[in-house]
Amino acid sequence: MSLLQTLIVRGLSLIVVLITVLFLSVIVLGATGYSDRLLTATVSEELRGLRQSLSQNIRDPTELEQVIEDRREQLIEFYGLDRPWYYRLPDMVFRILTLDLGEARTLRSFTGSNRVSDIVLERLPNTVLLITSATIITSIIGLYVGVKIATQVGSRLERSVSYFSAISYALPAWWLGIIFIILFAFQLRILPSSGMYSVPPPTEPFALFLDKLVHAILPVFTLVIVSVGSWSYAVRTMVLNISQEDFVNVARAKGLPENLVMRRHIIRVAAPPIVTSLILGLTGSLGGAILTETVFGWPGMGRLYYEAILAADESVIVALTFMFTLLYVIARFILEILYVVLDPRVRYK
Amino acid sequence: MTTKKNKPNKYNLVVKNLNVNYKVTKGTVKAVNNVSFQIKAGEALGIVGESGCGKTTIALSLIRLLPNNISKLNGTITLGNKKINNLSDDIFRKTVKWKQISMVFQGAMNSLNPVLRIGDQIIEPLVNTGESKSIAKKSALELLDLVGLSEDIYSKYPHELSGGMKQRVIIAMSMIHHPGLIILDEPTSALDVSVQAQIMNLLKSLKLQGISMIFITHDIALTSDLCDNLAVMKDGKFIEYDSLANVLTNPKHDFTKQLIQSVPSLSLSIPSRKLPSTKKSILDFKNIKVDFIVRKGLLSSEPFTAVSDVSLKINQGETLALVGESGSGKTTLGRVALNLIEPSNGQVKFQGSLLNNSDDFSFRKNAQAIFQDPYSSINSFMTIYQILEEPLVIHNIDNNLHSEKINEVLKDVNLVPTKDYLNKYPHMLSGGQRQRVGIARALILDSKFIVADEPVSMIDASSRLEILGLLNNLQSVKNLSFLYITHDIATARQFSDRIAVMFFGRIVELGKSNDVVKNPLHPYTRSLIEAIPTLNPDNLSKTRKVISRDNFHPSCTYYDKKLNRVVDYHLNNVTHKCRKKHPKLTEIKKNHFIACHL
Repeated sequence: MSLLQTLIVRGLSLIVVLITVLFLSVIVLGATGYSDRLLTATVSEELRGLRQSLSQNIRDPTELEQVIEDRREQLIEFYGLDRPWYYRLPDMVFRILTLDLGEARTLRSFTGSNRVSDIVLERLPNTVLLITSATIITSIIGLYVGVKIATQVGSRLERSVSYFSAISYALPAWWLGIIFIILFAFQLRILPSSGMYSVPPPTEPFALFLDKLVHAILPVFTLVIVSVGSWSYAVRTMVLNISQEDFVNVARAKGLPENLVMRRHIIRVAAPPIVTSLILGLTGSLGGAILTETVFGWPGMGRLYYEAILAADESVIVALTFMFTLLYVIARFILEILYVVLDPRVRYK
Repeated sequence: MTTKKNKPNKYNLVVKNLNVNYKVTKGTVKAVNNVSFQIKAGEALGIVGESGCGKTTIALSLIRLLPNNISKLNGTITLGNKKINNLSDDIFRKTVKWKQISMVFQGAMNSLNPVLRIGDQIIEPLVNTGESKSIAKKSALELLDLVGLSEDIYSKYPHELSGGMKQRVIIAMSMIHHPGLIILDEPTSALDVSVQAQIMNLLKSLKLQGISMIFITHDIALTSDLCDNLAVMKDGKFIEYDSLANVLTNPKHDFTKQLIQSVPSLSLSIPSRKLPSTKKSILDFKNIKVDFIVRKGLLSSEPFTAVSDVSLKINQGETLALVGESGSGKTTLGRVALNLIEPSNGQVKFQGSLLNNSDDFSFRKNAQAIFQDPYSSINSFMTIYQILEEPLVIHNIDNNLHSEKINEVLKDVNLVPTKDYLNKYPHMLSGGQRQRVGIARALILDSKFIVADEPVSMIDASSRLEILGLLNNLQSVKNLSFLYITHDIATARQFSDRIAVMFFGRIVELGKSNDVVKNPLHPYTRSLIEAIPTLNPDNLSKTRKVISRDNFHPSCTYYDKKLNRVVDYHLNNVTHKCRKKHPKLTEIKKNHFIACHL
C-alpha cells in the first residue's frame, strides 16, 4: 500500500469518527429526553413572555387562553416537538455536516449575532491561543526536564520531579486556578483575576495585545502546571526505555559524543511516541479548558460550552461538540502524517 | 586517517591482571577476576563460558561501556605500544573507540537504530570524525560488498532486512574505521544454523585480512572455526587458556572436558534406539493445514500458511523430533498437537479418537507441554509446591494424594532432597533447575504424551545433556511419547527415535534418526547437517561448506535413482512438474520417507 493510500485510509476513518460522534451526541440528547425537555422549556418560556405582553391587550381570559394555545401549537410544530426526536435530530446532523451550524436560541455573539457559527468562530481563536501556548510551554519544559532526569535516574532532582509530577497530575485545574487568582490577583495584586481585556480596554492595537497577554498569564500558567509534571515523567519513561536498547550501546561504542547519542539514537527514536502523547495531550486539554476558561472568565469555546449548558441551548451544544471533535480529528490526522514522517516502519505496509 | 586506507591497522593487544567488580545490593560481585591475555595481530582469541561468567564484562571493559555500578576496575590494557587504560574518557572516545577497537554486539535484531537508514548508520562514525559524506559512502559501499550485501541495502531501513543481513551490516559497520581489533559478542547466537555458518565464514575471511578478533560465545563448537587461542571462563576467571588445539585435544580442567563432551558429535556412532514394538499411534496428524490471518490495511487481510499438508504419526513410546529453522512451522504444529490451535484443514487423532475442543479437559490430562523458556513458563509468584499442585487441583485429584505425588515427581526429575525445593520460589533456582520444575509439572498428571518445544535451547551447555538424559530416562521408565521440537538436528539424533525435517511448513524428510543424519536424502536436510558446527582444530584452515537456501525451491526436489539420492537440479527447468505441485512424502528406503518427485 502506498503512502498516499495509507493516508487516505486513515483520513477516511477519521471522518467516520467525526460522523459517529455527531450521531452519538445527537442520540444521547434525544434518547435521554433531554432535547424534548429543553424544547418544552423553551416553548413555555416564550409563552410566558407572550402571556405578559398579550394580557395588556386582550382582556377576555378565554380568548387569551385560546390565542396562547394556538401559539403553543405553532411553536410545537415549529420546533418539531409534535414528532419524536429521531425525526427531528438527524436533520441537525446533516445540516451541521454541511457546516450550517444553525441559530442559537438564547446565546448571542459579542457583536449581537445569533448565528451559531458566528458565536463559535468568535471564540475559537481565544481557546486556540490559550491551549496552544500552554501546550508549547508544557512540551518545551517537559522535554527538557524529562530528558535531563532520564540521564540521572535516582538523583535528587529525578526524585523530586517524580513527586512533583504525581502532585501536578492530581491537581484539579479549577482549584489551582482559584488558588492562583487569590494569590496573584487579590493578595499580590500583580495580575488580573479574569476576563481577556482590562475595563475599559486600551485603544492602541499593541497595548491591546499586551493587555491580552497579561490576562492570559494565569490561565496558561494553570494549564501548564497541571500537565507539565506528568508530561515530563512520560518523556523520562520513553527516553529511558529507548536508552536501554542495544543500538544505543552500539552508538556509544561507535565513539559518538554523548549529546549526539542522545539526540540521534534516543530522542529521535522516542520521537513517535512522544509526539503521540503530546498531540493527544493537546486534544485532551480541550476538555480541561472548559473548567479553566470558566474559572478565569476567558471567553473561549470551553466557557461557551458551560454557558450553552446553563442556557440549555441545544444547537450550540451540538455545534460545540462537533467543533471539539473536528479539532480532535484534525489533530489526529496531523499525528498520522507526523508518524509516517518520523517512523519508517509505518511507511511501507 | 593514515595513508594505508582499507587496510586494518595491525597491533597487539595485551591485557594484564584485569579486575572488574560490580556493586550489587548484597555486597560486590567479582565479575572479572585477575584475567590476563594477549592477542597478536591477526589472531583470534575465543572466550567460552556460560551465562554470567564475566565474558561480556571483559569485552565491555575493553571498549569502556561498563555500566555505572562498577566498584573496582583495574589492570593494564596495552594496545600496540600504548597503554589505553588510563586515557581520559574523552581521548579514549576520540582515538580508540571504534577506531582501533570495535564491537559486534549480541542481539543482531536490536543493534541497529530502527529509524535511520542503514547507510547513515554505517558511515556515522566516519562522518563524525570529519570525513565527507561522499567519501564515507564510497567506503561503506565497499564494505557492504565485502560482507556480501548488495548496494541497495545502503538506503534501506533495518526492518526491511533479515537477521542474517542485519548481522552482516553490523559487521560492515564495525569495520568502517578499519580497526585492528573487533570484539564479537555472541555474533551468531540469535541466528539460524545455516545463517550462522555463513556469518562464521565471513568472519573467517575478515580474519585473513589481518584483523584481530575476540570471539565471545557460549558454544565451544564455534570457536574451532575462528580462534587461534581459546580461553575457558568460569566465575570471572580464565580456568583454561592455551592454543585452541591444546585446549581441545588436551583439556586440563573438568569444566572444559564437560563443555567439549556436550558438543553433539555427528561422526560418533550412536546405537540405533530400538523402535517400540507397538505400532499403535498415540497421535496421528492427517493433512494438517494451518493458516494465520495477517492483517493488511484497514479491512482486508490475507492468510499466511504456517503448516501445509502434514500427515504424521507418533507411535506410543517413541520420541519424534521435529527439526526445522525459525519460521518453518514446527512450533505451530506442536500447538496443533496440544489442541491449542485448531487446524484450518485436516484432523488430529489422539489415542485413536478425534481431537476436538469439546473434550478438551480429559485430553489436557493426557497431553502436556515442556516449554522453551524456563524463566517465563513458570509463575514466579508461586512456590514450587504450588506450581506442581495446580494441575492436581484443576484435575480434581484427591487432596490427600497431592503431597505424595509432588514428592514423587520431584524425585523423578532429580530435585532431591525434595523438601529443599517445595517452598522455594522459581527465582531461587538456576535455569536448569527451573526447567526440571517445568518437566515435573508436565509429568505430575501421569500424562503419556508430551510436547517438548526446544526444552534445552535456553539452558547452559553444561546442563543440556543432563536434561536430555533425564527426559530419555523418564521416557523408558514411564513409557512416554514425545514430540521433540528443535532447531538442532544434532541433539535430535541423540534424543529421538525418528526425525521429521520441516521446511516452509511441510515435512520434507522423515526417517529413523540415524538414517536421516548419516544418510540425509533431501538437500535441505543435508544443508542443515552441514551447517552444524563441529569441534575440530582443523576447521581453522577450512571454510565451511554452506548450501545456500536460494539454490533450491521448497517444492522442487527430485529423486535420482543412479545417484541414490534426491537432487535439486530443477532450478533452471521451470517447466518441471515440481513447479506446479508439491511432492508427496514417498518411502525411498525402508522407513525413510522424503518429499520428492520420482
